[in-house]
Amino acid sequence: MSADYGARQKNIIFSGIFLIISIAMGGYALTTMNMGTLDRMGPAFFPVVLSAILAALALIVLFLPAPADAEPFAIAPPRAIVIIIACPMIFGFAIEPFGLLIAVFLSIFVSCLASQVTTLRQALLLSAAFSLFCVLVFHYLLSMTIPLWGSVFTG
Amino acid sequence: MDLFAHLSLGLETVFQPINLLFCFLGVFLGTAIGVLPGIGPLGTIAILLPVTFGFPPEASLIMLAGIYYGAQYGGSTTAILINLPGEASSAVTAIDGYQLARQGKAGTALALAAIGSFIAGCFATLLIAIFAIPLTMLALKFTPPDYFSLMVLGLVASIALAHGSVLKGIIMIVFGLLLGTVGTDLYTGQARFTFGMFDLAEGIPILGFGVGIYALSEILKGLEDETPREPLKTNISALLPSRRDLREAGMPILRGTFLGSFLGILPGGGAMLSSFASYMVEKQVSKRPETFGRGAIAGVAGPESANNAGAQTSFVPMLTLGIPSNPLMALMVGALIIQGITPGPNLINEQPSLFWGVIVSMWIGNLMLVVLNLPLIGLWVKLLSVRANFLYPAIVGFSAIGVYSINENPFDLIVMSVSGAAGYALSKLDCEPAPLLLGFVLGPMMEVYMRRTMLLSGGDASVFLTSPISLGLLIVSAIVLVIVLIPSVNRRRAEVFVEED
Repeated sequence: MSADYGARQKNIIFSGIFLIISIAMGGYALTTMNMGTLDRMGPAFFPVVLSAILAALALIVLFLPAPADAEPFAIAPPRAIVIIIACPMIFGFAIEPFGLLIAVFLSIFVSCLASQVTTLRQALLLSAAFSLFCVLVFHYLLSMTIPLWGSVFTG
Repeated sequence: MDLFAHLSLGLETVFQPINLLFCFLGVFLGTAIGVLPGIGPLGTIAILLPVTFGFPPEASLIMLAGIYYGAQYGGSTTAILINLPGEASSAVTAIDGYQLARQGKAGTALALAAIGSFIAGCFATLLIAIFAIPLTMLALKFTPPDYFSLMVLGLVASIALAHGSVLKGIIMIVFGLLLGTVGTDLYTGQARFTFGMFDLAEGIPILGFGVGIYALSEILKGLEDETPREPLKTNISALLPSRRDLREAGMPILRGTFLGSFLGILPGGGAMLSSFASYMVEKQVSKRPETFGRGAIAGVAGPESANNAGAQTSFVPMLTLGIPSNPLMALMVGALIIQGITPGPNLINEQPSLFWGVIVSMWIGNLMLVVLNLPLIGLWVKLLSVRANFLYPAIVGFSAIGVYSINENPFDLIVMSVSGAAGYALSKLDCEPAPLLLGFVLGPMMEVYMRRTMLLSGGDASVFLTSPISLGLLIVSAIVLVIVLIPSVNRRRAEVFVEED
C-alpha cells in the first residue's frame, strides 16, 4: 500500500502548490489591478477568473483517489539538479562580461559535472571541443552577432 | 485550374537552388539532432531557429519546416532502435517499433515509417493545395467569438494527448493561460505580474520557457539513472519490407494519413495528437489487437503516417489564421514575425510564393527523407551510440546559445533555468508539459478575443452560442471533452501507453 500512499501524497502536494499559486496570483491581480466590467474587462479580469478556475480544479485533485498505475517516484541526484538548473544562468551571467567562447566553455564544463560517470579529464576535453565547435559554427559560419569576447576583454 | 497554378508556383519557389539547399539542410540537420536521444522537434527547432534568421523568408521557413519533420523522423529512429522516444509523438512509435527491432525487423520498421511518412506527405500537400483557399475564405468570416471558440477547441484537444490524469491536463492548460497573462495589458497598458521587472513587460519569453521545460527537465530525467544502456545490437541489414509487410501496412498508412491530415488542422492538434489517435484506431480496427505492443506493423505504419500528415497540415491554421496550433508553430510564428511577415488570412494573397513554396517544400522534403535517410541509417545509428553523459552538456550549451541569440538578453536564460526547475518538478507530479505550453501560447490571444467579443456584444456572453461557427466549435469541444472523460475511454487511453508486459 506504500505506492498508494505515495501517489496520494503527490496529489496533496500538487493540490497545495496550485492552490497557493492561484490564491497568490488571483489575490495580487484583485488587489492591484482593475477588474472592469463584463463589457469592458479590466486587466485583472482574465487573471482573476483563471485563478478561480485553477483553485477550484486544484481542490478537486485534493479529493481525488490515488491513481493505481502511478509511476515509482525517482529523482535525479540533488547535485545534478542544481548543476543542470544553474547552467543556463551561468551562461547568462558570463555572456556579456566574457563573451561567447568563455560563456559556452563555462556552462558546458559545469554541466559535465552533473554526470557521475564523466571524469574531470573528459569534462575538460569535452567542453573545450564543444566550445570551439560552437564558436566555429555560430560565430564564423553563421556570423551571429554575439561577440566572441566580452566587455572584460574589449573594455 | 487554380490547384495546378498554386502547386506550380510552389514548385517554382522550391526549385530555386537556394531553397532546395535549405530544404535539404533543414531535413538533414533536423534528422541529425532529432536522432539524439532526449531532443524532440521542439528542442531541435529552438536550437536551430537562430541559424535561420539571416536568410530570406522563404528559405528560412522552408528550412524550419524541414527541421520540423526531419526531427520528427529522427525521433522515430530513436524510438524504434533504442526505445527512447524524444517526445510524445514518437512515444507511440516506440511501443511497437522497438518490439519489431528486437525481433530483428528494425529495418522494416524504419522503412515503413519512411514510406508511410512520404505517402502521408504527398496526400497532405494535395489536401492543403485544394483546401487552403476555401479555408482562408472561411477564416476571413471568423468573428472574435469564433476565434475564441476555436482556441477552446484546441485546448480541449490538447488534453487528449496528455497521457496522465485528464484533470491535471486541464490544470496545466489553465496554469499556462495564467502564465500567459504576465506582461503588459494590451488594452490599458498596465503591467501585470511583472513586479517592476522591465524584462517581463512583453511577457515570459516563450523560447526560454519552452526550452527550459522541455530540454532541461528531459536531461534531469536522464540523469536519474546513469546505469549504462545496453549497446545496440540490432541488425538493420534488411531495409526493404517484404510484400506481406507492405500489404499489412497499406491500410494503416491510408487511415493514418487521413486521420493525421484532419487532426493536424485542428488547433491543439498536430503530430502528437495524430499519432496517438492513429494508434488507437489501428488497435480498434485490427483483427489481431493482441499483437499491439508486441511488434504490430500497423502500430508503426499508422502513427508514423499520421504524425507526418499532422505535422504538415498543422501549418495551415498558423499560416491562414495566424493561430499557432502547438508550441512548435508558436516558434514558427516568431520566426515569421522576425522576418517581418504577419501570419493570417491575408498571407496567402500577399505572399503566395512563400505560402505555396513552404507547402510544396514539405513534399520535396519528405522525398529527401526517404531517399537520403534510408541509406544514411548507419550514420544515424552511430549518432545514437554517443554516450548520454557527453550529450547533455552539448544540449545545454546549444540551447543556451539558441535562447540567448533570439533577444540577446541574459534574462531569457534565467527564465530557462526557472522553467527547467518547474518543468522537472511538474513531471515528478505526473504533469505533462504540452498542455501547459499550449495554454501559455494561446492565452494572450484568447484574452484578446474574449475581451473584444465582450466589448462588441456589450457584455452579453451568449454571442458564443449564437454565432454558428462558434457554436459548432464549442459543441465539438464538448464532445471531445466528454469522450476524454468517459472512464472506459480513459482506460483505453492508458492502455496505449503501457509499453510492454
